[in-house]
Amino acid sequence: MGMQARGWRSAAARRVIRRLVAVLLASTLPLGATLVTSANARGGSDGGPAAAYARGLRALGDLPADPARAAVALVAAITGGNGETANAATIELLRRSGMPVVSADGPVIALPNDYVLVDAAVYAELIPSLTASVRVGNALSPDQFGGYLNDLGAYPNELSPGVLVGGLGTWGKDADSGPAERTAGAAIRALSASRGEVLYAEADPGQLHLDMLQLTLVLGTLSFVGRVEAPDPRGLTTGALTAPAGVSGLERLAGVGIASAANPCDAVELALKSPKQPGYGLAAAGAKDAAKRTAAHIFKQWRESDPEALAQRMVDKAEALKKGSKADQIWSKGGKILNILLLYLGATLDVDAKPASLHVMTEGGISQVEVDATAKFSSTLSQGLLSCYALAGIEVPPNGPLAGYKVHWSITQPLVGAGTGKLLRVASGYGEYFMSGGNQAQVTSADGKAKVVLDVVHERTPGKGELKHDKVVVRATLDKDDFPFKWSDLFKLDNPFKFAADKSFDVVVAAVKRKALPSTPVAIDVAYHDSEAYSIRGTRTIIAFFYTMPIALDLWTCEGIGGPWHGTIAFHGDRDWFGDPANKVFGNRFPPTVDQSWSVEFPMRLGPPPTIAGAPQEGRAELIGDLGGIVELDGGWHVLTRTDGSVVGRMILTGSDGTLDSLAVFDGFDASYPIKVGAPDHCPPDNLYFP
Amino acid sequence: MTAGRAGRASLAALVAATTLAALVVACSPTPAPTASPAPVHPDASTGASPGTTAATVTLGATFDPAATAPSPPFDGLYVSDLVSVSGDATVAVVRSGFRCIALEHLIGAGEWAVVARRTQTIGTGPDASTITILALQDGDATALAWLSGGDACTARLARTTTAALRLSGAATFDGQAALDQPFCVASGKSVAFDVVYRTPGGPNVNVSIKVPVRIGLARLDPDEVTVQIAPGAMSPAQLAGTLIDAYKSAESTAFPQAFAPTDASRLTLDVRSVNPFAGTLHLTGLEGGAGAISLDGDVACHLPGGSLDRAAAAAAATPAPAASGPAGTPGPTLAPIPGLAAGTAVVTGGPIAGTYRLPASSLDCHYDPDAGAWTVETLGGADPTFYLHAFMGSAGGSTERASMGLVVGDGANDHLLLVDSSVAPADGVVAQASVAIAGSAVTIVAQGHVPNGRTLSVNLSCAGT
Repeated sequence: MGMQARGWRSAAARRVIRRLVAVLLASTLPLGATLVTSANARGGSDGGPAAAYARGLRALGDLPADPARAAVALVAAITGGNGETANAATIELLRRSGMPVVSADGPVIALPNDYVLVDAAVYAELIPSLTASVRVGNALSPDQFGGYLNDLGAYPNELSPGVLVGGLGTWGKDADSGPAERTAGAAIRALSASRGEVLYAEADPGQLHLDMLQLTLVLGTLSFVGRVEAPDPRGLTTGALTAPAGVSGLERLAGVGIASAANPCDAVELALKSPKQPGYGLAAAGAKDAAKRTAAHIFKQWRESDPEALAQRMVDKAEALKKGSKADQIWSKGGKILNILLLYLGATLDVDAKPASLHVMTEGGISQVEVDATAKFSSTLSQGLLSCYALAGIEVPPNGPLAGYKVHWSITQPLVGAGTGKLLRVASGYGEYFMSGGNQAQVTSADGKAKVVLDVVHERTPGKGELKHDKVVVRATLDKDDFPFKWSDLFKLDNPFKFAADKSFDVVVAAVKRKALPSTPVAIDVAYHDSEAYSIRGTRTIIAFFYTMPIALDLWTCEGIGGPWHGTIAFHGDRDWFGDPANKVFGNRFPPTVDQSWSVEFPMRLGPPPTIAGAPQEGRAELIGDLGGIVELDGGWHVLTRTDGSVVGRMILTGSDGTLDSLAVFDGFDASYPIKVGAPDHCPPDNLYFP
Repeated sequence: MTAGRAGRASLAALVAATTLAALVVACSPTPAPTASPAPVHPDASTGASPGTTAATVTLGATFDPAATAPSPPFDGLYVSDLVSVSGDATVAVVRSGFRCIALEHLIGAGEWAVVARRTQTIGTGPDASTITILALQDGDATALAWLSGGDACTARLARTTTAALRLSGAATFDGQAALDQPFCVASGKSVAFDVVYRTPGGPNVNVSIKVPVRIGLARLDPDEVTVQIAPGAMSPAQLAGTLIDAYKSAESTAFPQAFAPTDASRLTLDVRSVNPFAGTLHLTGLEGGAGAISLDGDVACHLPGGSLDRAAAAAAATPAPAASGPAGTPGPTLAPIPGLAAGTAVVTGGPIAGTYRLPASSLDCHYDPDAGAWTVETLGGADPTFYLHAFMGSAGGSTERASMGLVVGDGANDHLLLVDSSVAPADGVVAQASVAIAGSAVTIVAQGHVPNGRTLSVNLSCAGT
């Protein structure tokens, strides 16, 4: 699934040449610059990652000056641009978030403008896999995402899904948030928004999907050995890369005093991380405090609207993390953690449904859907030993199918009754693969394939009811017991002892084993005819002359928006400040309280249907007596997303003189009630059945 | 201010009394028990056959990885398909089926940051309603958000825009001001809205207006124009606090300098657009404690949905009221009550100023012997530009008045509320009245006035039912 970069990997001879070129490139690279101008020097039609990045940047055009708006534009390119532009946007996003992007062979592809998250350099060769994983919908649950941060020590274990997404939804919007945090926070939210999801504390975690780019942005920001900031005149930015005349290009990049580095990647590593780097000591000393501040920042803005003080507790906990705690792992080994996670993105599942869309029919229709998954490893990193940066010493395994791996399946679809799927049912013989236990997994064949079959629901009376479309999402997930990639099979370490002694690998492997499960969905569009349920429930308070009167509606229809609608209308009235004096006039005519309710049944008279272009649908209803309703159903994209529980419009109460809006304004609003899709207590599907 | 609307809404409720009374009457003969009605339960035996693997599926709504939800037009706001969003780039209304704190978090999870949060609970017990006002910021942009509605919370987000403003007199400014839209509701044929102009360093001006939704030059009812000014710089967060304070007390001093129209005032709104409602306001000769001011400024009221269009249609169907004299000219001298012709009502000042003939045939009188009270109303359709509702309690004998109230309007909007001060606070009081009851007939001769001099005098007779 990963997009293949072309022409710049695998051949050892070319690698040597590239390293030579890299020296030249690195020696001319200023901080904040990219290899746009130098890329062409590498020759070839595509010219490698730097040239591709340069072309992609040109395609992106001018980005907004505001960091958050620029991040939103970059996310749009990542999710909607062509491959090269999308990859460039990913690199640019990481760069603006403070993360250097480097080539496995040494050259730096992109350096941040303002400061460098020193141990957060990401291999450019992993970017296509990262971009592809976002675009294909590979997802982590909030629990998995938070689990990473917990396991790696960035937060205590009370980082629940709700707390996590509450923080991410507000991160980077503090007045003191720097451009990197603003970029990362805005990008994380925009990535979720591109999936129609919003990261807020009360969101249903089961409906949220977080991707590896979002995780990279968080982990990268939290994991710096040295945060070298531009304003510090002794820091890397000015000290190393803006050197006085007479210093060689390589020295400028690498920093005064480390020009004798053995190879270009060493040079950059030393430039970024060497204690000899001017200003580095000062920056490193404050780095962990900066990391803690950043960890706390994720929750700071949320405090403004968090009456339960969850955010404040997380801020306090993050700031209280101590040296020597588990947090040291993420502070000191960020680069390894990040790149191992991204390397794992090379393990992918391609999932396809046959057919990808169908129309339910009783006779002659499609009775079953097949869903196939193909597991394979396909990294855009050169196969072979890595010699630079965080994963130096690891030998990237060859590309190929993942045979003998366990695959778990899950299905998500509209439900009926007590959690029963509405449209597709797992066919006989495949049910065990949908169980949650580890023993029920399906094992991939020699060519890395697994398959399940699903029965399609039938219409009892073909064509009866509204024509509706729903998505059924089938997801395949590789089993955690097989991770990380059957380690001994795939990673050949040049110095196993070195890595065995590296605690960071223990931490990362443990976290990955728990959390980094490749998981790929496929959406199946199912068209069917069935009843269409809506409900109107709520209370609005009307100032009804002598009474302040909440009017409660509990209305529903199982037969489309036009009805007939059923339900109750109930008043509870408390005699108000005007009713009291009125009683002085009329005697004890108005009791202190009144309560009444009525059963109602009524149709809605509707105008032309709403349009995707945005035109709403309007209608009217006569509820009881002079009480009526004006109906407004949303046009636009909601026409296509009328899922159960969605609010898709409103009904405004009316009296004989028009709407009661002017009587309901005491709280600043009108006499509107939301119209929601679905009436699960009243309307089971009527026309659908499994034979 | 918005809280002031609460009182005004109560007054408007008088006009709607017929609606609600009719509702109660219509509903009363067949009240049902408060128990839940019988729900529709389709025969389960004809429904779907549950799948045998139900326990194994992942619960929840569908997620389509290929779907990308278009952003709502209000830039920086992210929403899921659980909520309904309508509006434009300036104002958006988000209707949800969940609690306000959740909706607040959803609003704060886009690119808008919540920089200030103020809440106020209105009412007590089961009628209590909590209002939250948020000050939002996204880069250089600011906005205000109002949330209310309990478990089905609705939010109205209004972006701060800029508008031309010229102030002269006791307060001065000439330039571009930040314009906020704290309040906007359309009902009947009119729209009522508040705008707040904030200028660098002050002054800040809060203007409340109610006007028919109709293109063209509208002469404003002095009763429906309120202007208040606050000195000094005012941030969006401070404005949010000011607005919430207004809910706490109608006597909020956040805009301490009040300016009221006088009979010499000229009050017009040149309406350019009905949806969104927009125009240019021209107010001259408003008097306040600090002196007189004049104001020229652009106003706007964005109200997502069809409310403004419906109000415009209603306004188009209703002839503009024909005032007896141009606004800004002094009203006629009070006619002495004894000289008031029988079957006549005289209103001085305001948009319905004039003399109205109200013969007994145009009135609906009702005497409640148990309460010892009369109500007198103009019959529907008798005069589309004039509506009167009077109620009077007798304290014994045929003419002894215990209390009295008079309300006049144009059929859709009240314009004068005159009630004995012993009964309730109102715009003004009934200054003098005499009542004669003969058999089933009642004659009421009464006069009242409001502080700015407008008066209502009536001499009505009708037969009770």
